[in-house]
Amino acid sequence: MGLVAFCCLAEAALAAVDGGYLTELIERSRELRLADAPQWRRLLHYHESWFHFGAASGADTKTFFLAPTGRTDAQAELEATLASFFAEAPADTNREPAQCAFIARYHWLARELAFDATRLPPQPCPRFRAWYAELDPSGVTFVFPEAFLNNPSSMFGHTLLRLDTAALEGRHDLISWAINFAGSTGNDGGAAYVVKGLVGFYPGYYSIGPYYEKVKEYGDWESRDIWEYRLDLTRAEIELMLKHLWELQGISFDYYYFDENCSWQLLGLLEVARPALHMTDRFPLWVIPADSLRAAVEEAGLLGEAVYRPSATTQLRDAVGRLSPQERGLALRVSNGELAPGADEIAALAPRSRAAVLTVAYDQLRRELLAGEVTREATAARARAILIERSRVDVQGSTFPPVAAPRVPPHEGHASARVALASGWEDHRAFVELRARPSLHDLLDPQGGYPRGAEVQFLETALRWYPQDDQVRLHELVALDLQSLTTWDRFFRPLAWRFDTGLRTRLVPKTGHPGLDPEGVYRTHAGAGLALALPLHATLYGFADATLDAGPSLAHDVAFGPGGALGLWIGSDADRWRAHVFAQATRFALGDTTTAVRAGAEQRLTLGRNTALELETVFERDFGRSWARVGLSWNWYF
Amino acid sequence: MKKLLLVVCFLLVPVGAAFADPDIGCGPGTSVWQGSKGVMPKVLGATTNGSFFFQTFGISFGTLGCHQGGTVTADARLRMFAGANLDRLAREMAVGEGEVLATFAHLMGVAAPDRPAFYAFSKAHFAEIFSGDDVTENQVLGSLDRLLASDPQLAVYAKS
Repeated sequence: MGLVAFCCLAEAALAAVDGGYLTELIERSRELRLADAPQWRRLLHYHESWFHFGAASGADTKTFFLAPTGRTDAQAELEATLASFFAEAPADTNREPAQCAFIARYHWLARELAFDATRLPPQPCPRFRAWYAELDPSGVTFVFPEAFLNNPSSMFGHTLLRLDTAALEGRHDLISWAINFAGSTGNDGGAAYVVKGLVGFYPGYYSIGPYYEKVKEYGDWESRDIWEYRLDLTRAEIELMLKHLWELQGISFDYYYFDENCSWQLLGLLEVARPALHMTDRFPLWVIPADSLRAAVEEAGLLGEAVYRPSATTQLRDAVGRLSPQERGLALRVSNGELAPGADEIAALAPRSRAAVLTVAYDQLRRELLAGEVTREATAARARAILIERSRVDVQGSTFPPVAAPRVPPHEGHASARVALASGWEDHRAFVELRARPSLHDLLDPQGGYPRGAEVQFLETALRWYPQDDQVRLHELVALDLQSLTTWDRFFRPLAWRFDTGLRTRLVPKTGHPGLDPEGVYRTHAGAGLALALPLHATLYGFADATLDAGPSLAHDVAFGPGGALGLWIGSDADRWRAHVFAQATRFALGDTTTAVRAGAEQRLTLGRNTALELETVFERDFGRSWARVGLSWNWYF
Repeated sequence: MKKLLLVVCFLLVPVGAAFADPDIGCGPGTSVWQGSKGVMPKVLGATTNGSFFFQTFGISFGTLGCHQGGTVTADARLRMFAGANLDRLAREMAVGEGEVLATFAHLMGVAAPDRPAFYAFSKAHFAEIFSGDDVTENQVLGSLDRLLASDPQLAVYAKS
């Protein structure tokens, strides 16, 4: 009853304003087919959806739509939006008139339909103006914190935007504003995250906050290097983007890990800023942050060079590398409290050396605090005492030069999807193999642009054809493959670890004939160990691990056992050639008991940014039989 | 209160609590990224309050220094910045150089020609500025103010 009365009142108000002009505008919008215009659909966040029939908006909050069918009917939403612009300012001052609440839509429609200001008076929108003046943006920077393996949620990297304030003229970036898009997961944990995230259960929101909080979160807490790319956007484009952001306050979106994620959303924002861009079209199925970075840089254009912001850990690692062995020992002893910062051994050092030792001691203590290895209560007094000593050293300024940026910035790294064509012999049978991987990076891939010692592979799939008996098999489908090979030393004591799970092919005995036959097993494998840096860019590692195989082709349906692995990686970040020599043994003690051994070498030659050649030579022993495998593959990244 | 946790890109695990307040009240976006941190080993334990050598009050836009028009006062900005970066500020004052220190000086309104003197001053008086291991940003700013007031060159930057 109340609702009906309200509607009648609203219509009466409209009629009093200029109902005739509204009708004219609607007619004209139909003639121009504005509801089909790409920009209108972007403003409504429309896209083709697998889950709807045809196009629908990804926005999930009712107040974002003025027409009841606005989520799927762009024309109805356009007409309702036009009608709302005629409404007078609401009596409730907490609510804004539609012209201000939907200021980007207003801006766009006013231009397309050439609004007559006398027949549709513009509202002043003081709240938006104040907000905009506060942000005072003159530039937009695309920010890419690199992948972080120790948190599954960020192992593909992240992206956000920074608004660069005109008044700061490119200085004091820390107090610029960051625009972030993130999903809100409530209190869920474990498998619920994964499942709900994949099906879009979580709402995603935009937020704005100080950039220093993001630098702290990624650079300090998570030890992720951050890359900053100033985009070549005009002031008018930035204003349009912020007008649209204003419309998105408190609006939630369906959040999907792989497609409608932060990267996809930010590309959408940039497309609103410059309608000629078509970046989201490049990613129909999934968006990896690093790929969205490449799209933004290629299409929106860059102003100047990428800026490298090394994490606290990267800076400390670099500084430790510049100390002498004696200084390193002293810094560690001061850091762990064995030696007072004012002790004679420290006082005896030359001033620059003393400054360096004390700074490293403090940074190491802070790293341990952030990593949760020490408590604040036990270390705060020591931290202050170290800094007091440092402040008394007569050396003004840092004794360490800025950390040099890696030679290859992330946007110049290899593309994250990979296909490979391989050919070879296994157990005296020739095979041809087609491999594909949607993302991201393995340790043999060209290193440039990716975090060192981190492997993240998702859905690596291989189809194998044996010409001998004209048989095609699904050779592998590895859901997830992770490896963290950060090197150990006295300052950084990270555990190396690896985990993979997925369908594999294993040669297993069959009743009735003597040989082994390739059969599918579902394998989950996890290991922990240590990695050590050796001279000449080599890394030595050792793992203790466990393997669980399951599948009907095993006599007992499962096989489980502990194992060990030893290996060596050779090749620096810059080398075109990388090699990996390894040996691994697993004692399957439960289910189908046997000792499986694998040893060999794999090497990759990088031919170009997006092509590489790989040679694999492996000897295997399983179920009492031995055989060899040799394979050569051509890899293409795209 | 329901704890708001985050999935940032591809996120299976919460990371921080960044959340836009639907009612933009004071300052752009109202909410400061605040609250508890997530889950995996390195991130664990790094809650806002547990992760600083020096204590910090949880100042947010909503509670301090907001003008009626919704902007944040310069003083509130300075306090928020100092509070959020107290560990790095301490380190850089002791060293006499750094990005956080430079931004802090900017927010203090220290003119460019006076910056070297300001950095040298805060280094020389570090032990008095960070007068204990449980100081808050308000105590740090208070001590700095008192000390600045008696410096012939830098007294203009003392608030009191």
